[in-house]
Amino acid sequence: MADLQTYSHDAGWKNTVLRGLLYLVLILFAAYYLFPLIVMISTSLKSLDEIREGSLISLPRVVTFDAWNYAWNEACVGVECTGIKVYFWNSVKMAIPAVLISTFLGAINGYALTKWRFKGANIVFALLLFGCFIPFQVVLLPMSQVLGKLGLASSTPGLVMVHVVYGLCFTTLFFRNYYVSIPDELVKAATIDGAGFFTIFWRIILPISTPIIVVSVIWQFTQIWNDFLFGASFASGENAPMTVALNNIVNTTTGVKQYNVDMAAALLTGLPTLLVYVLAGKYFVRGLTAGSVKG
Amino acid sequence: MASLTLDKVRKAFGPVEVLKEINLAIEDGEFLVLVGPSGCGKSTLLNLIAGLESSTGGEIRIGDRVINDVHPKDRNIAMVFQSYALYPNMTVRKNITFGLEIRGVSAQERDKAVADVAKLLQIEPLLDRKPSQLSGGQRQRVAMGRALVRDPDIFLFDEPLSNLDAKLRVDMRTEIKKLHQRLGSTIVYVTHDQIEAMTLASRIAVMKGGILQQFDTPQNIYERPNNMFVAGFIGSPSMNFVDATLIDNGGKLAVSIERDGGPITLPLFEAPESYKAYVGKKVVFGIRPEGLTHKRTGSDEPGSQYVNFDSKVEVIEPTGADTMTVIDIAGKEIVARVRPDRAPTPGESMTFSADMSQISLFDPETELRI
Amino acid sequence: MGASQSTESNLTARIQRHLSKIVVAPSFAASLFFVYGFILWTGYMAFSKSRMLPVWDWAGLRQYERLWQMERWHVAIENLLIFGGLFIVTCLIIGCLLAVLLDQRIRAEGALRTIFLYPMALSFIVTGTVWKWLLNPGLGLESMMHDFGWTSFKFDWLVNSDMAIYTVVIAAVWQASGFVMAMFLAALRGVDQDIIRAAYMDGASLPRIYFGIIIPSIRPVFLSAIVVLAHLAVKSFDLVIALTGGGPGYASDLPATFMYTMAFQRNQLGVGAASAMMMLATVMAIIVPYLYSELRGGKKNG
Repeated sequence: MADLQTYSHDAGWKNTVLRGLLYLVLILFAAYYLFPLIVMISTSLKSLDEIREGSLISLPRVVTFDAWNYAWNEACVGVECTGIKVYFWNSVKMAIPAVLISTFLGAINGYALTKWRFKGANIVFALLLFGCFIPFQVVLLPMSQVLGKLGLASSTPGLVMVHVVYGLCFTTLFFRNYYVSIPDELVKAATIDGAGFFTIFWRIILPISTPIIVVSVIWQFTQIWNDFLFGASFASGENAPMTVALNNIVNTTTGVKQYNVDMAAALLTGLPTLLVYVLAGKYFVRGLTAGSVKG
Repeated sequence: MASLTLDKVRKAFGPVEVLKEINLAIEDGEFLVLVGPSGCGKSTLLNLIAGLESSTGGEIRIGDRVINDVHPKDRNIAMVFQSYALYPNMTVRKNITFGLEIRGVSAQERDKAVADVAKLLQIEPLLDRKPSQLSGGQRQRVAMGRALVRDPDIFLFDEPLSNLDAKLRVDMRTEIKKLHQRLGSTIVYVTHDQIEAMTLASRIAVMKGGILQQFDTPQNIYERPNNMFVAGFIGSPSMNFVDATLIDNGGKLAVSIERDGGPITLPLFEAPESYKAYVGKKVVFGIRPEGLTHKRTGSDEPGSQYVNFDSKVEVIEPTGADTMTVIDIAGKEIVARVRPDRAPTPGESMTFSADMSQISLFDPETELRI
Repeated sequence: MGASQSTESNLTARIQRHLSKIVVAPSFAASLFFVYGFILWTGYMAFSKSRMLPVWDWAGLRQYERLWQMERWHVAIENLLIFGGLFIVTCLIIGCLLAVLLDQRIRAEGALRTIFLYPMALSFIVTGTVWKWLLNPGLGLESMMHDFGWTSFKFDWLVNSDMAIYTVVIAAVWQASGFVMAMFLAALRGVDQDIIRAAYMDGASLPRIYFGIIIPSIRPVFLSAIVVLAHLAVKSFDLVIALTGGGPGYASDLPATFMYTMAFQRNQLGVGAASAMMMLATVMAIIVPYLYSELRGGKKNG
């Protein structure tokens, strides 16, 4: 990497000033990114009176978790006022199977497409990949009809199916790109040793796939947990995911606007993915850049 | 252990013929080396023998058994790969016994097999390590151990030494040779390195463009190459080729080479029948660097196999044991091998002796040996 | 041994070869049906007379005509261009700037990177919700500025028909610029150090090295970033719903919200389908040439 100190022809104080400026700009940007989060947390910990009287950035004089409690247990989503916790579990029930299934299918697809190539494998992959790019608006109408016919409308299994189908392209892309760089000779050696398609997959390929499994799981979890479009289109109602419930809570026009509850609910919704990001961030980045930089 | 026969074996990928009618037969216990430049089809041939690809035509037999349609695991072969292909998530011990485990061999027998092989290859202290913790040479030995433990009829090696550094390569080469002598196994070995081919093989199959160029013992291939390709490929530095005309030099055949200042005439030492048809015609004169030396004692005497001529020296390249001397004859750069203490200075002219008992003549059109 | 065994292992080998296809088949079939089949389905609906319920009578281009006659659709398209353009350009500038700054061997690089990137981990709904609060006319930024003493500061963009779409730009840039930074940083790190050293020995100043050599050499990443951002922009739905609800009225509508409203709330399935097809066409117009050129250029492994 090019860097001020090594490659700058200026010496001494000019350098220090520049470097100071550098840090200043970076800190300003950091503040810009952190500001909303801090406000969110601080607002959620204030009482409504304090919100009205105080200023946006003032920290709470009295820290209260009432808003959080309310959001979790009593907030009204539609006509039900049982809090967002119901929808939290809906999201969990939906996300976990969807993530696991789409990751597994992606793995075995990637394996088959790279280590047991057949005629037309590239076309299959290209067609699969293409599906990643379509705007989902174009499948909403048919999908709602199909789900209706299958009796899966407004249900968690229906939503799981939708996420698996449209997550396949990404997971297959991740695993395929990863397996391409695993030497084919490994499979050849195992073949001569007598192992077949599935044995090689379970005993040799999967055990060395941990990095990409993590990437795929994190990426899929983030996409699926954060999704709103599919949730709103196919599972509004009692099986709605948390994002749909959040939007509902925030955008209801009845009664007094409880900003602290809104913020608490938003934080509750964002915490799972935020936690995943903080704990396993570098894998997340790898997943983000995997598909886009190298097509 | 068994013999291997390749009978009119062909392989095509769609319209592209990668192997064109290969006929080879080796006996039990032979060390066959398939050598040639990249793309010559040697690895494809090895894959056919292993069963990793299927042939488009011809028969492959191990012993008396036709194995064309037999699955690799039932061919009783073992293969060592260029990148060793050790299973990264398993210990050395598990790597070696994986195949046995799939075959249902009992744990007791597996343990014994591993112990025997580990002792033979001196890898006992490595048994509980993972491949990532091993050096290149150690991995190589584990890969061989995995092959040995199957007690196969034939061992297949696919450029196993290419990934090692030069010194290690030489050491491992010797180890493989010793192993062969000790076990007497039938081996098919693929490499692009002609030195490996020469040192290891009992017989060499030189390949180019999917065609078998020559199949013979190393020494025969070296001294009597079938065509210009084989002549230039085997031997380092490679054979010198000079355009010349075969003339009748007062009753004896000689080779005449054009040069500024008058042609060089080199009388031949031996003249087989086949040469007669080329008198007066153009030929390609081939002589290896060790056949062109400083002036030899006795080279002036009649009946000597040495013929002298003078030439200006362009470049000298000392290698320690010899000094390679580059001379220019008729626009072509020729390499001679000169003893260091007789080495000339560039720009000087010197007398060279050509050993005419060690030459080859080739037809300029077909490039075949005359 | 002999014939029967070779037929058996021949059969196993055949099944093995086909096993690969069998394994991939379900995903492939699902893709064919749920992606391509659905596209055709929606396409057909756009050619049908469907309103509240899908109807299969052919209506030619009628739905498209109605679509393009709707002022709301024109507003949506205009908003997409404004939003898309600003969003992409701003993200590129910020992303590139941050990447270059972070490339300077900063001490807290890891922490800073985490801070810049975390918004991408949030749902657009969460982002929309928090920015809706931040830009709240009475209690948000405006009131904060008032508290600071800047009493004439007015920020009612959220409820201002002309400015509502710009609030979406602000929130979207906050969310996605970190991602662009990550892409650029990775690319900057991959630049051949020898070229930089050569330029340095030639006496080039640091800005010169950056603008003249490094940034041009990561041009492909610019393209990737633009494609990804454009794609995000066209798909933007969650953010608008949470931030402005498409309002006031439909002042901040985008094609994505337009489609949803028409199809699921206004009983205009045909028009909704037509707008979806228009969105597809736009995305294809960007993605297809890009993919084509990528595959052409980088076709190494099969």
